[in-house]
Amino acid sequence: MIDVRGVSAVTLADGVRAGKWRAREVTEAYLDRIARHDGGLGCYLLVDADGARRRADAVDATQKAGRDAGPLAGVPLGIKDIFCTRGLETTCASKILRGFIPPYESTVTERLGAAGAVALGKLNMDEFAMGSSTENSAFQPTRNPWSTGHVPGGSSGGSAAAVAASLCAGATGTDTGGSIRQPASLCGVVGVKPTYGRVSRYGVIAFASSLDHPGPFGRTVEDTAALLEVMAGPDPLDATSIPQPVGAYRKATRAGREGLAGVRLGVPAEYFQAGLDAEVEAAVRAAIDELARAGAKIVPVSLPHTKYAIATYYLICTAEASSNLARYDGVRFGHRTAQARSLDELYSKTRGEGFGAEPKRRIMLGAYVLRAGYYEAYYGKALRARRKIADDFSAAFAGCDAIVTPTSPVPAFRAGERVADPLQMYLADVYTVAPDLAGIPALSQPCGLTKGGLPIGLQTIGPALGEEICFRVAGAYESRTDWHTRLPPEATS
Amino acid sequence: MGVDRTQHYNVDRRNSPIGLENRDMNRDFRMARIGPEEVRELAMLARLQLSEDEVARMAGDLAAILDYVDALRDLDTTDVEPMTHAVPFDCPLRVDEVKPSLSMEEALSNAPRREGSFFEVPRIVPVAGAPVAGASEDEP
Repeated sequence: MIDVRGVSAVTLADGVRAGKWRAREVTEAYLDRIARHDGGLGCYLLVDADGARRRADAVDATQKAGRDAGPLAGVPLGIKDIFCTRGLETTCASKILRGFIPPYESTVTERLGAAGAVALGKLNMDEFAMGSSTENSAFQPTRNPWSTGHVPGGSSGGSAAAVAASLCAGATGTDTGGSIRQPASLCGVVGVKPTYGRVSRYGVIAFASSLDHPGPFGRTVEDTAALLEVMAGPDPLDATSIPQPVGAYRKATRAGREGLAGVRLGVPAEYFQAGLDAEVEAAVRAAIDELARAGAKIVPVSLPHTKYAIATYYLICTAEASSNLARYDGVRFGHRTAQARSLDELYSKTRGEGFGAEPKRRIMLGAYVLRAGYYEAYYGKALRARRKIADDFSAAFAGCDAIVTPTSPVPAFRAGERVADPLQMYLADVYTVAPDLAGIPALSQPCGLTKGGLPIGLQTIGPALGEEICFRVAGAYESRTDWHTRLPPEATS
Repeated sequence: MGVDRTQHYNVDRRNSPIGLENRDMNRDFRMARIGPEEVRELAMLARLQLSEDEVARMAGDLAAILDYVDALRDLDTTDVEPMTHAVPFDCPLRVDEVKPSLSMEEALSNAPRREGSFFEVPRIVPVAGAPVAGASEDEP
């Protein structure tokens, strides 16, 4: 069997396209790793072994017939369970969607499949993508492969942990307040949140529609670039998808290997203040020094409204969530209470039984801030603050090409440590929410390990549709360091 | 922290959810932020059944979160245009033409209960001639 531990998705696709490996044997290698190692990690909610073998065989048949199976030929991927997959249970890690079999496929998974990727199964997450530790899953926690007593981050914790542990060659995620970048940082992998609308939300279960950004996870920067090139692009099925042509992300990544001459990188003082762990700060400052040695000019920038980002984010995302989650009523799909005598009782009991604590909290907070009399003071105020936060970035990008910061103020925290205190959990996203509010691209990549052996992440933020500069900077850093080659210990089931 | 804010909530009609529109948004909410009555009212509006334990915990959680988001009050947003979308968004219209879509069977395939081509729900309108639940038969 092929040893796929630590192998990049790009290497696998090249190997399958060149006839070095069959897609089927690559898929079997990952299925074998999942069987041996996922018991101790809990990354997968569902492994679709038969479907994966069928898809891999189809790739092999295409290659055997002399046709190119696509840029991701035979690359086994994990799919966050927020993406609808036709015929395959999709739960959003919620009891209210247990047993839901989507009759349609998300645009992202459709495109990945058409490019030759092989979906292995559905990955764990915080229920409805609400959380920063994957402890809010209704079904199981996911462990951090670097230390199973620690959380993998969230909400896409299953995706980040599965890539870190080589239980898939890449994965999909969604980022509403940091749900791709924060777990990528805590698990030592690369995660990319593109510009809002760059990747279609069709078939992605909605949490906060104006903030939901689908994106990729990978072991290397080029892996995420290859995945994003396939995932991105206009989609007639998503009215908020943007029409501009998709950038050359792999090319930009490779360009970074030639250095960063002429690139100005902004460092915001607001991201290096109280609350930032000393080891994280040291690693990120060392990474910025490395980027300077690569030829970048480091300039100070200011994002003065950073301190309002979390408050703004929680007002907007809960308002949108309370509205989006109104559709779960026990009538058309999902859980339905066994005992309802009236329609109102059907709704309230179904929802009371089906939602976990965090979605309930957000539905309630959203209902509160949208109420007549409170609407302007909370929701309206937050929409105006959102503009100020976005304007901060526009002003900063007048003097730099990209901004570099820590991704998370702390390395992975211990399981159970924050789960009882929702505010503490919300603060885990203090460096990631602002790019979501502004809708601008941001990437996290590994840039160090703590003395305790936990990964540290570097975040690169670009202007709207500036994915290429993010990939160039990240490609430069990766080509000059070896953090992306470090692997977590093998988990035992 | 350590203070149970729910204890400060004064359940009278002026502070009840009924009179929310009359609340002065500039007054200090810290003393009477949100209590069990208002939580129950909101849960009813959101069609979300909560146990009494959940109501108590929710009141404390929401009060703490609302205290935190109060920081926004310091921010001057005079003349700032609300930002509802991250990118310019002009509600594009697609061409109005018939295209294949989900079949009826597919659309109904996840229904917890169905009857023929319908989603089934508890009765909403009373059966003609049958007594209405809760109504007295002695009423004129």
